[in-house]
Amino acid sequence: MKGALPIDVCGFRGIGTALAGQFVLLEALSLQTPVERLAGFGFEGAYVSENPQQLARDAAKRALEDAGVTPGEIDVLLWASALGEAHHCHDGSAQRSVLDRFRYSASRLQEELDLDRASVCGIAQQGCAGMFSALRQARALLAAEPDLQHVLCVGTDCLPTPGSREILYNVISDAACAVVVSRQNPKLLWRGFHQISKGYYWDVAAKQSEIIAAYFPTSRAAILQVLRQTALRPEDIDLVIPTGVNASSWPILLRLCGIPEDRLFLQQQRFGHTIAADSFLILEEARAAGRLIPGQKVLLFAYGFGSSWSAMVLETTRFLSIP
Amino acid sequence: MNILLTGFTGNLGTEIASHLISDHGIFALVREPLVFPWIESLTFVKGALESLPQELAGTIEGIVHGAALTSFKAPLDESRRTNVEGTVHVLAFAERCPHLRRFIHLSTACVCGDRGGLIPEEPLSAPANFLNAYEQSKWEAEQLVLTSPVPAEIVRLSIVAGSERDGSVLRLGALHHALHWFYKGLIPMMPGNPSSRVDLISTEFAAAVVANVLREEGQAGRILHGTAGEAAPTLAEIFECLHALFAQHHRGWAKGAIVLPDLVDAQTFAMFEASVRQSGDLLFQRVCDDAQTFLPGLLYPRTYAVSRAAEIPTTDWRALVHRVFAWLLATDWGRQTSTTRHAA
Repeated sequence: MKGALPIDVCGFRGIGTALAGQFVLLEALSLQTPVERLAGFGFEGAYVSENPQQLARDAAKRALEDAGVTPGEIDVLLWASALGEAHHCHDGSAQRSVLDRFRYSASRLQEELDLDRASVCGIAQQGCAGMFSALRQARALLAAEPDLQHVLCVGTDCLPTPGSREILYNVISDAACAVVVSRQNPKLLWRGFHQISKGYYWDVAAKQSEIIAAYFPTSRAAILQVLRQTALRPEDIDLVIPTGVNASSWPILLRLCGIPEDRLFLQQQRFGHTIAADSFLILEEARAAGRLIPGQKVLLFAYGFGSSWSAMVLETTRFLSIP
Repeated sequence: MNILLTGFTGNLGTEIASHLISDHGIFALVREPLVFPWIESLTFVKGALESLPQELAGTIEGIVHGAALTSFKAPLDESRRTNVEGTVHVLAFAERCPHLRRFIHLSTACVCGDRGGLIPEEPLSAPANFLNAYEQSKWEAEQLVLTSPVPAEIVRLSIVAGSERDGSVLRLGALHHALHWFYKGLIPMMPGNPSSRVDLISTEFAAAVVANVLREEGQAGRILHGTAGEAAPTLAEIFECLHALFAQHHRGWAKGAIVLPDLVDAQTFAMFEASVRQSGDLLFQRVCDDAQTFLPGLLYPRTYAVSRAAEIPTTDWRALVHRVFAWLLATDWGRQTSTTRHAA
């Protein structure tokens, strides 16, 4: 890219993910729904870890490497976790002092990766849409502060062990993802984002059925709004990167939005649903499979408890093919 | 005229009786006469469709056959037992009535199945598809009536929403169940077309249509629609009305958290249903079951021809929807007693 870019032009320069190392079959997991039903939804098991900080570190390193950016060049670190536990580093001791509650994961990551120039911030209370919110904040920071060049967003979560691995018919794996959002040389250019938040559904346990019912119409509204914002028609979307939630829901959502079903990327990986990392694990798979070609419009969508529905449109650039 | 009324205990029975009682002698067929003490000057006749009061054959001059199994979820054999075989029994009884002058068979506008466009007040050939066993059994009953030697006439009624006086509903039907899920924000999508008409009538209107037909000279083989016709609102209009109505009573609607369901084609709804069944979620299976028996009719925009629309003014559908919804809300969808419930 030559010449001065508009201040708000930015995109994903590097992506990294980390899936937990231990795979546990459905039969061995704590679930509410019968195994055969969940298998029917395409779930095979879950990748399990107890260390969200380790997963975050691995994902961040890979994102930095993919971006070709050194840790010292990162201006801002945004840490996103849905679960409160992932924001804190526990030393395993039963007795916790008040000060232990301030052992923040993001600060630790900054220290461990030598992100010495970065300012640090955490993002929470977005459920599975937390990483999307981190990316939105990253883009907003770059647009607002001309001196910033690179923002590293990291999303990570691990469900407590032992405990249920199922949330609303989805089998949950532990994973992390990281994205370097930069002004220069983005592989995926930021085109648009729209989020709908409905506090009415804050009480997930009490409003479970209502949330399920609200999922489709509100998802559709979020996606159609981001298409309007980017002046795109549904058929202009070349690729839809799903999340790992209930595979049968995606063709329905695409039909509701008028996006041709063949635009849905059909993932081969079977990790179930990770809280933050689905879209990025699948985006990496699409890239590795050669499905990302410069000039494509790519739609990402995530729903998070809270409740927030987030839709994002990216455009692939020529930097995709540059190692 | 001495009239035998079947279906007295149904949604329309008491209203029809009250419309006819001043001009006719009414013999209401009931299984247990003692449970209806509040209707005066009405003769209760103990019996059932399969055991009609043969001793009255010489007295009866007219029959209004309103008894039906109206459940949209009932299997075909069960629907046929009441709606087809029951009609066979009533027609056979009618043939044994030497003074019979009139036979009014109450049918449903839904006998058109999945037909769209203008539905005429004429015998209908079997549609490509019926949406539920009720429709099919009522269509089959019409064929029996039309080929019978009895001087029969057919009145096809559309969706009887409830009383326009007080909104009361004697027996909740698919419409009311759908309204319940809708209000609770539990219907994410519906098969339907925004321009489809939702032909709603009140119990009073339905009864007035029947009374009006009986006031006229009989015309064997005649078919009349007791429907709103072109006055019926479109689905889009109903949605707008319900949205405003729900917002007055429900925080989720008022805040815009609950939004109107997406209107989808049959295939998309089938995919949603398959997904629900796969999950085993009992609540949503129930929602889908209720929706499946009723809502697919909204995929086919249609208008029921009404040749005599001016004779009985149709109900203001907005007022009807408001009253019925208020009654449903006040009685928790009929689960709580209402002082207005049996006022008629």
